[in-house]
Amino acid sequence: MKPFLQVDNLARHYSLPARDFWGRRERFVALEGASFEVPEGQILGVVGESGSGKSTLARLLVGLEPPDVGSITLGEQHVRAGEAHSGPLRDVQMVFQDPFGSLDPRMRILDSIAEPLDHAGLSLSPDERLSRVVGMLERVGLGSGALRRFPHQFSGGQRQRIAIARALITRPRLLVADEPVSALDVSIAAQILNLLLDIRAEFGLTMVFISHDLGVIRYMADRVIVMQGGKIVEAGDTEVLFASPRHAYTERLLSAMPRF
Amino acid sequence: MIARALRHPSFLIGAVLSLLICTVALASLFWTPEDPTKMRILMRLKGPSAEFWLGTDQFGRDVASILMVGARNALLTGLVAVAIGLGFGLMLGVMAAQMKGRWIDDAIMRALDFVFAFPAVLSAILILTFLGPGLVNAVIAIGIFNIPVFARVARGATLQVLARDFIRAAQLARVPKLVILRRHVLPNIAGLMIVQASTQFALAILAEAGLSYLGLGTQPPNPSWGRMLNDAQTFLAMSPRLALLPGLAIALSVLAFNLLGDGLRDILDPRLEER
Repeated sequence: MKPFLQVDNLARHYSLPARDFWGRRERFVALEGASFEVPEGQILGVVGESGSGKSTLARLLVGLEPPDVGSITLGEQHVRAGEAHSGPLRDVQMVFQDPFGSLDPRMRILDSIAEPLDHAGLSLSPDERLSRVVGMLERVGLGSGALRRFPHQFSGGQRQRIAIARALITRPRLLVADEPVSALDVSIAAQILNLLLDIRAEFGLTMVFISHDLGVIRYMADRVIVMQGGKIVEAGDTEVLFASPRHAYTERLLSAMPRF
Repeated sequence: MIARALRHPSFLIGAVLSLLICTVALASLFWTPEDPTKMRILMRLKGPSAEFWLGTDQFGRDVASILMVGARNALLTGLVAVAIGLGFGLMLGVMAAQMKGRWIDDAIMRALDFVFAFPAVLSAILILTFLGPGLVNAVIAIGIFNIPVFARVARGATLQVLARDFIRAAQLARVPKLVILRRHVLPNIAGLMIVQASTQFALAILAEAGLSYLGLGTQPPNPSWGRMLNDAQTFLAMSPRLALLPGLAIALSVLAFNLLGDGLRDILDPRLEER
């Protein structure tokens, strides 16, 4: 079967600010030689410490930034390095780490969630728009009482639910979740993880799930890639990788994992 | 937010004083106790009385009426100077933030630094020697020197907003750039800009008074607090009241708008709202 998401030899560099006026700008390699594929409906876990290139990978996958090398194939869409960057990809959405920064504090929940709908070229009637938002709010476990309120009136977990509702409102086929629960309490985090799993089953969503928490990755992912210093150092099915890690770094990560 | 405003002492004092000054200025459009330009040689330098509430000046003009009309000038100066500064400053600042890392950001900000490097009143004098003295030119000069102030605040605030994830989310939702600016950036920097506007308003009143004192602002016979001060200098020993009253008016309005700005800063602080 042809994979839904295919990533080939992806790389991204950033040039660091010059030390002085005549100083040369040095390059920082954030991601290098990343290749993997994800079949439709599966969850790919991406694990690694901070600075390992996880978030860079996320920004490239959703099309917020163009790759410097390599290509991304998503269903019928191709993104290749060197071609004109066409902006964010269709059918892709993202859930961010910090639920306090991912919702505009000055915008009502209704408008925040409806924003992707408003710019999807659907020309919905106000009633249709409202009913879609209410439906999605209920799906993520919040009532329609939330519509007219502002983000500061919600807890972190509730905000993350709102962010998930916004991400799903246009029915994307790929959801990139960048550390979606690392800012939440453990019990709240578990609820959000289960919500994501339910939604995956219901919508047949393909997911790239990024985390530094191996426990969370093991719970969520079908396959895992392990990243270090901008490179993928190991990849495999979740259970196989957790049972018999081959790379020294994966072993170190696993041995540092708390056991309950 | 309204409840917090009512409990904030400096906001309340500032708001009441500014409202008072605005009311006086508006009232002067329709009514003053006397004609502010009418001279009465026999009534020169008289103290306060039932007929002339705050006394008369060296030409026998009614000081209360001159002060009222002067308030109009002061407020108009503040309003227009802030409008010029805010309009151009906001545009340039947001544009620079949007273009951060490219040469245009540096070009805008260094050009504004150049303007900012000169003391405001000094450069206003320079501009007025070219354009000629007068209230309109003075206001334009003050407005120009407000542009870098607003631009810097706008750029910094915009950069902070652009760094937040809800901007990424909007980009993913394919919201066009200009719509992101209007719907996400502007509402989130509006508070800071309003606070800055009230501070600059106070400074503009002070600058206009300064320029008029030097004879470069409002021209006679139009009343101006700054020129009243200058006129009063000669009679300082004879009737200090003539200098005290416009001085008090200037100090009070500057204080009022500064207190208002301080209060607004606290009330509009989004960090307080998040909790």
